Amino acid sequence: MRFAVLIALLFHLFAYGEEAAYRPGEGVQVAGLPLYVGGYFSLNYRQQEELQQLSLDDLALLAYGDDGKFFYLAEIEASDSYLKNWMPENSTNTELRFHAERLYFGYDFNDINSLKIGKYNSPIGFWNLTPVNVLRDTTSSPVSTEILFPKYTTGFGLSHHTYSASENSINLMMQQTRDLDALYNSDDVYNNFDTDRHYGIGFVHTLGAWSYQLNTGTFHTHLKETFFYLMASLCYESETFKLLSEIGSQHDRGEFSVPYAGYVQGVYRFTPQHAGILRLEAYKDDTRAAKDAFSVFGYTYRPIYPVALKAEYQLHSLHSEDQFLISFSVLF
Amino acid sequence: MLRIILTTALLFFSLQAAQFVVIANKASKIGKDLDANEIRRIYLKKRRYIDTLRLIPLNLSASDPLRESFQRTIMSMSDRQLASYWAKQHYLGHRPPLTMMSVESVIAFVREVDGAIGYVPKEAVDASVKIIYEQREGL
Repeated sequence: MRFAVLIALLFHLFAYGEEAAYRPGEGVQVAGLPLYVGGYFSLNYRQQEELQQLSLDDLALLAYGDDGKFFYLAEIEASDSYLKNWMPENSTNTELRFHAERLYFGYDFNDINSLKIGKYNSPIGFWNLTPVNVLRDTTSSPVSTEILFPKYTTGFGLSHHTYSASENSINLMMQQTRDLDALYNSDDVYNNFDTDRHYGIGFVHTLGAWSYQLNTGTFHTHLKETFFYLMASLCYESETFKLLSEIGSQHDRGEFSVPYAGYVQGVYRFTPQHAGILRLEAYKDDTRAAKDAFSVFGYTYRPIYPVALKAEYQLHSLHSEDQFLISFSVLF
Repeated sequence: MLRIILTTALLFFSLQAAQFVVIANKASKIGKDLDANEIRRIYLKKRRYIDTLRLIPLNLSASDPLRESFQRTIMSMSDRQLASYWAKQHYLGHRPPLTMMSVESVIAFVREVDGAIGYVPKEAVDASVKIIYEQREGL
């Protein structure tokens, strides 16, 4: 019933949106207001040695806009709203449970300085700012983006940008409260870490096709754990080729919790619509007694940019983790 | 022979004539100190103000040859790169430049709205707007 209401809402907004010509991946304006709505979803199929699964993931609705120097954004997402398993057991689960993925408002002091307040993507590394399936290079995300730092921060975010021959940014994250999603889903917060404190800083330098980033910070979880993280990132991008690499570590009061987690990824665009991806990853996670090194071979087809069909095969040092993934994702 | 030389020279220089000019509201603070790099930043919405003036960049429709020329010479980005950029910006809560359906509508918008900038053929410019950047193609 809730799924039907969501579809009806989306249809109404798109049918009566203000923009005369809808362009996929750009949302629509609502009734002449400084408000735009859009969303995205992804349908994923995964096969492993003892797992075969189809899921409707990343089902999200977002709304945003700006009025003068004020800006605002709200996003709700239902993850795994449909889950069909063939292995290890035949089962089907449908649950439309929405989480507050992002909710913030902010103020642009000028081109150089801005402040946002609320829940936002932690500006750490290059992958985490646009983490959704349709915008990333592969169906899967690097392990480093899941285990090193909180993907979302609830609090204040300060950004400082300067532009000359190069572009430079400093991003500050300050959280001294529980994750915003905990207000409604205290037992299932939408974040990879259920944090109640996070302080971090990041430096970004861009010169031509090269970008470099350095991030460090500390966060405290609802389970009374404290971690420190450090990550370095590098990106080179041209029309046909993209190189992305991130490596970091995490400490727990002087001892390594994650001694290392990182990857190197290359994307080659055969044509604007077709791309091949190779990613090499390695990590050691002492909190889960896990260690692995693996290769990801991917292919992405985008008939238009906001629509992506992807396939990938992962070859792990732990061969039980080898997996095949395909996905269909759309941004609207 | 002289006629052939003159005709060839005229043809050569006409090909070097400005493909488009960038215009702004005549009374606005936007001046001729904007170079191609700054205009590119404005169209990527990385620069949104001149002093306190909010900038409003305007595009022509995707099928317009002038937009293709602007995209090639100022933006230096392919259709795929721009589509990728604006898809990510949409997720991050930022809008692409407004799209106008004709050169006449670009000029009318720029004439009425302080902070608006657009690109039009030079011969379309009238006294109601000012040229802040002129692009020449060729050598």
